[in-house]
Amino acid sequence: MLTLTLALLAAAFLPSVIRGDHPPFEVYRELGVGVLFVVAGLLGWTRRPASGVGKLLTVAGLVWLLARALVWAGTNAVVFSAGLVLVLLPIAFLAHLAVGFPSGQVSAPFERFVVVSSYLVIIAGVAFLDLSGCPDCPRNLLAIPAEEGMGRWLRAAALGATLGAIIAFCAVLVRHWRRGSPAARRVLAPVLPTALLYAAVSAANILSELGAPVGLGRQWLWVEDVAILAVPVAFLGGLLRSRLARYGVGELVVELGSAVGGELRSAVSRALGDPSVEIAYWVRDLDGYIDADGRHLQLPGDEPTRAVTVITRAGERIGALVHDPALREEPGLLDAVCAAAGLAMENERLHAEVLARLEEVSASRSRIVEAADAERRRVERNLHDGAQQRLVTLSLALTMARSRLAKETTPAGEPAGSQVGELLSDAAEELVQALRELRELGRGIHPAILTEEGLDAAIQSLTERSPVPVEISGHAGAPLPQPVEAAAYYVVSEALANVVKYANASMVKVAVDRCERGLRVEVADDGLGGAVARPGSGLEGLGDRVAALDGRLVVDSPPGQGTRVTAEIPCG
Amino acid sequence: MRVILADDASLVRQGIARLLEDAGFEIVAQLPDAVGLLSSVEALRPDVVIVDIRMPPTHTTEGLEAALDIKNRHPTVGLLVLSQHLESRYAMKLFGEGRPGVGYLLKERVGDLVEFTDAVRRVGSGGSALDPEMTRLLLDRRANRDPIEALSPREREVLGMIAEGRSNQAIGDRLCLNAKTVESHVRSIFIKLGLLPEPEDHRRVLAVLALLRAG
Repeated sequence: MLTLTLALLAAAFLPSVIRGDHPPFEVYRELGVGVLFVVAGLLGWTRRPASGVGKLLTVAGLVWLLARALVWAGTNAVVFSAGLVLVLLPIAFLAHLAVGFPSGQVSAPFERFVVVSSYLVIIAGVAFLDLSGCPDCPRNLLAIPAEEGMGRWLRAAALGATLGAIIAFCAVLVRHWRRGSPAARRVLAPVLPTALLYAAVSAANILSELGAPVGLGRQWLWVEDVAILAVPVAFLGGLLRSRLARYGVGELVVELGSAVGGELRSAVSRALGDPSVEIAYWVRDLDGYIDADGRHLQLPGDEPTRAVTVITRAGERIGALVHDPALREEPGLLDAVCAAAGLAMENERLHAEVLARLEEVSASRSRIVEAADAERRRVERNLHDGAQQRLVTLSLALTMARSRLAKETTPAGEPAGSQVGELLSDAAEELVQALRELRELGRGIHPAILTEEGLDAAIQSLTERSPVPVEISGHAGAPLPQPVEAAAYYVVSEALANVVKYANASMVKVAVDRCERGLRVEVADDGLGGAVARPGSGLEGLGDRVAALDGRLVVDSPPGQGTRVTAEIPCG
Repeated sequence: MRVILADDASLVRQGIARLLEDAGFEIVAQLPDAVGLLSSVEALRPDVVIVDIRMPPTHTTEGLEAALDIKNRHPTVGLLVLSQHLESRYAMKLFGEGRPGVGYLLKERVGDLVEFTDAVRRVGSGGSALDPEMTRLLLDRRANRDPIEALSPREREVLGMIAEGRSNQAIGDRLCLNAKTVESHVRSIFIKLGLLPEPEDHRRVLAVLALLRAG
């Protein structure tokens, strides 16, 4: 393409520059416009191959250069006339481009009409070109003499049609702008004013040719030059404003491909220029979508405010982007982002799936703890209503037996069965012991006071049983969810038990506080320290229990400086 | 003495009833729950109501609540609450600001004929009763700023027995002390706990409260 351009440049400009037929400024202007078109076109073409804009712009530039080459080639009238046809054709290309910008496609019937009309009026215009400023030029074979009646009318009609096409063109552009989404406007912004300016200048020229006093004076000719030079720059600017061009597919792939965790969303969001973008991962097992955190996601139907683009990889659906519908205006960008994101999403999707599993596991873990607590309560209730009552009944029976025995006397008036009485007495003593053990066992399994009187009372009750003096500060206050209270209770219980067993402490402080996240309990002693949550230890079990509630258990126990067990449990 | 008995464990209830009848009490009603307790009390005017703390329908503390309700409406009726849980909080609720004629016993205490019938009699005649295991727990409990700490070991022992509801005579018998020594211990305890000169009976209940509240 570059070679072709250079060849055309050489063909077009070397002869006239060498011959000095044309003023250098004019030569450089024409050269600059053509080269600008080609450069902008090539840039657009490489950055956005899917869009027709780059191609059209390049072709327009080449045609522009070719036309100059033909027109300036010399003396052959056929070549000259063919060149004339092509001289103005790029302007029709530009109209085509502007109407189809940024996709390069023109689909609406009226817009097609406007584009086709532009081509027609431009070609027709060749017949009425005013070549009076170039006396040395070869003859325009297509010229229709405009001095006579018929020719005059035809010329007026052609100019009128051109004017109409310009007005329709402007209307289409303004309509694009007014209806355009933010994304479309972002791209259109540089194109619209330059295209309108050029259209206005052209319209003014035509009006003046028709005899209206609106033509630009000679001192304003530079406006036309600026307008035509600005057009390719504007298209280039528009393309560069298009996210894709600014980003480059390669960079996109690199950035998106290396995105991990939540970065993918922000990378995609940056690439698309849409802060609202959401990424949904398809999970075949669930037959549905989840987000990056593993939560179920219901995709919106196609609505005016949200649009969904499904992402596939190797023919399989792997996810979807939920985005601003304005991005539909840049299908190439969406496609590129989807393709690049697909790579990362495969990883991200696995990550999200793992998170979803993790959430399931964590939910089932807390269900297990709850079930275990319920089971503990049930066992305690059964002990209370079953074994304990039976033993109490037995103890009553023993008492009755002893009291009956005590009343009986032998015929000699001696107390009867004193040995049996002693045995019964021993049995009763054993029974009292058994009942006491059973009571403490039941209490260890599940303290009834926790359910009946709440956490504060249960902790108070724990401290009453501690052989090491305990100071309690703060309180849990209003009832908390049962699993939270149970976890807090067992933390204090286990920590106090450890203090008694290992710490050799002279006192313990228990602090209970409602914190921002939920409940915080802390048991701190002034003992030996050096405690660790060994595998299988009570502390480890407590850590698991607290973690099942999304809480945190910290054991801080530097040797010689006491032990501080802290649990923070969110309240759901 | 006329007694109403409320316990959902029927074997235990019947056992207690027979035991008390054998010991000369009159069981005027037996109830399996706390629902009809108040109306029975109003209809039958017993001297003592013995009630299990944990009963249907919720199996938590409705026995205690029913008992307090009765006590508030009929302060002269003695209340003996039986519990399978050794929890000072329930005893504190029961004793309130120093209610006379209330008692808190572990349920297994019914197996100790003398202890149990003594407690029923005391509560029925406006005295108090606190399970010995509870007093032991309270005395063993160690905490800062505990007025109990100011007592000598012997005084603590005596305080425990006062809290259990025993008379000076009984305390003297138990500890092998003469009446004068017991009396001087009791006086010293009252002073150390800051119990103002009040009727002796009331001071004894207040001593229970002091023990319950310490710590």
